[in-house]
Amino acid sequence: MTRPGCRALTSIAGLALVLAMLIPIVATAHGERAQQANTRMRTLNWYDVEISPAKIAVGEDIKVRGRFRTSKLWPEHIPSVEQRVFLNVGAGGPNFIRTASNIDGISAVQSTSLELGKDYSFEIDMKARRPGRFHVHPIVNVLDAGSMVGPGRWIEITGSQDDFVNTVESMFGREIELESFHLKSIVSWHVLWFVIGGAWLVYWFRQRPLLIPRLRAVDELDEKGEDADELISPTDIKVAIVFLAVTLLIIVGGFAWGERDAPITIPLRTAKTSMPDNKPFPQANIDVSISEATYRIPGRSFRMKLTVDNRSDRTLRVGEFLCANVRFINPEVRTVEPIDEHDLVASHGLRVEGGPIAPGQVSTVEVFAEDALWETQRLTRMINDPDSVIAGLLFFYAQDGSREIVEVGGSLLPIFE
Amino acid sequence: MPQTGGGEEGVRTADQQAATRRRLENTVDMALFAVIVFAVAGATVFVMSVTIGDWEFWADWKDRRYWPLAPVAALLIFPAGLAAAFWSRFRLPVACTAVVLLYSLMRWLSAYFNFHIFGGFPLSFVWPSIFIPLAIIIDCTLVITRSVFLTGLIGAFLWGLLVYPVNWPLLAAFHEPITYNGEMLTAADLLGYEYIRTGLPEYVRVVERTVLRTFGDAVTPLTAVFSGFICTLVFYIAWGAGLVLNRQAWLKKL
Repeated sequence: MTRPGCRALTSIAGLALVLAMLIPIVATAHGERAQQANTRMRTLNWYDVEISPAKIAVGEDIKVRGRFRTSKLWPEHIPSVEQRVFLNVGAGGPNFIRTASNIDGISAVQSTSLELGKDYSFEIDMKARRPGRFHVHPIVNVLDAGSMVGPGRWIEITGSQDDFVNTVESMFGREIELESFHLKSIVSWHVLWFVIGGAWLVYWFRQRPLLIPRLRAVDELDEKGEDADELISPTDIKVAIVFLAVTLLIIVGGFAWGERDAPITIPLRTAKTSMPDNKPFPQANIDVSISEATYRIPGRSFRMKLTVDNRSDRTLRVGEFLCANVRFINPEVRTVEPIDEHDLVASHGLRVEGGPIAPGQVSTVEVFAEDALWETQRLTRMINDPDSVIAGLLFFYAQDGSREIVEVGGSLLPIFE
Repeated sequence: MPQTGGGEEGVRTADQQAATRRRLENTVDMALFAVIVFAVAGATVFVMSVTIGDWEFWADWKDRRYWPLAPVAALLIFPAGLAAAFWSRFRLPVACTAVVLLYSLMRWLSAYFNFHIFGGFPLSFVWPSIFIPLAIIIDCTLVITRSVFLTGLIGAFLWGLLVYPVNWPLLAAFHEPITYNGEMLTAADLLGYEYIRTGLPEYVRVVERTVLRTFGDAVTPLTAVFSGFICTLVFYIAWGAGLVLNRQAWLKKL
């Protein structure tokens, strides 16, 4: 490349770099779609999730609550919730503090383990800490499997972080402001040791030049067969003894100070919370099995053929199919609109052929879930999964508004043309 | 007269040469020391961050079993290696203190800018541990004994043994019990619970998980002594590696 060409290219690259730094880019998502499609479909199915209020001031409370069902079709190659899980929140960092959390009413301060195929309720209480607009999700971290992310809502926090206080009291009456707890002491001790460490270096570097003359001196003594340790003078040894003595004295004094400051201490908590044994599987007055499931790629159309046995005393209709946090709604049964721009609701995304299922009737129903969300949420990538199995929750509604929730799942056949 | 003038001129030239040499050696001092120590301190920060960083980043990781063992032993590698080079080449017992001092400085910068300003965590949740006095002990032991064997046996042993007492004035208050929603937690646990870390769930913490329970509840002293032994071993290995890597043969190959 010619020199003017190089200059032009360098100028353009430099300009692009400067513009990239000057033009702020707002991150609107944080990897919800990055997870494998089957990990989102067949692990935790989140529903009835509420995150409110949507606008709060610093210091005000917010609640995240809802339910999730652990999939019976949990992928074989992904460690499951039966090992260890932790109820968490995705909120772009510590923009909130979590003040309480529970699963089925049992405190979730520590991690726990869950069972597959069961239904759990959860609640997370938080307090707004930093102003801004944040996308908040409930999350269940699963040991060795990663984070299973629930549906998100945009929350706006107003006010100033300076107004935020977070004070608790220890069992011995010490008032603890967690935002700045013990900070003066931490900084003071560090400064003290920086000064002493710096003094040690200053002592040795007071002679200038240092390295080259000492290198030469060591080499000369080595060549003569003499001991290079002669370069260490008696004064050096005395100074080292003083530094060592002072260091050890401060360590002992500091330890005694720490003991007096907090005479009774306990180790970090690592207990695992136990959930009650024999939690029943979710009951439904309806049996559903998939006989066929296809996904037509050009039309973004998912179809499943179901055999439905309605054992209830009410006529039921398919109102919603929930899959990987995407809600496909049958508009003939329900009206659900997205709460914000990232609420994954396809308000007209579900079409059902086969009609209502009368009490005691066994009928075949075809369900079509059709929306661009299949593509935009990267769910079509399931054809790359090792087992190509789909799963989700089907919501059947009765005229009186009651509902039956059933997990459905099975092999999926893609149609490419 | 010309001879005298020539002599004075000759003396001035020698002075000038000496001054130039001193200036050059001073520059070499500054450059060499800065390059070596900053490079090693930078490498130390990087290695510590990607290996055992969490024990150093979070107050609720500073436990009685792993924190006085894993980070302490890992941190000793670079200071001991560089100490071998500085001692064998210059008879200067400053490498441990210099590396640890710079490491601590960089850890503070990281805690303040990365975790506090950018990440939004309170500084009291992400404060760095104190290691500087442990480095001073090793350097002083080296000067007093002038023996690598004794420095490893005493200095490096104290490096591992004393990390808990050195940090106790900072840490003790964080281990005071608090009742919170009907549970007993430490202040450190509460910080970990309240200040949300999406990618770092509670169970990821490697704390309090070992089988060193033979001596009743004397967990900390037992870990400290074990840490001392490990650090002695690490010191000898790192010192040996430092001597090998310090050979001029490597430079010639380059």
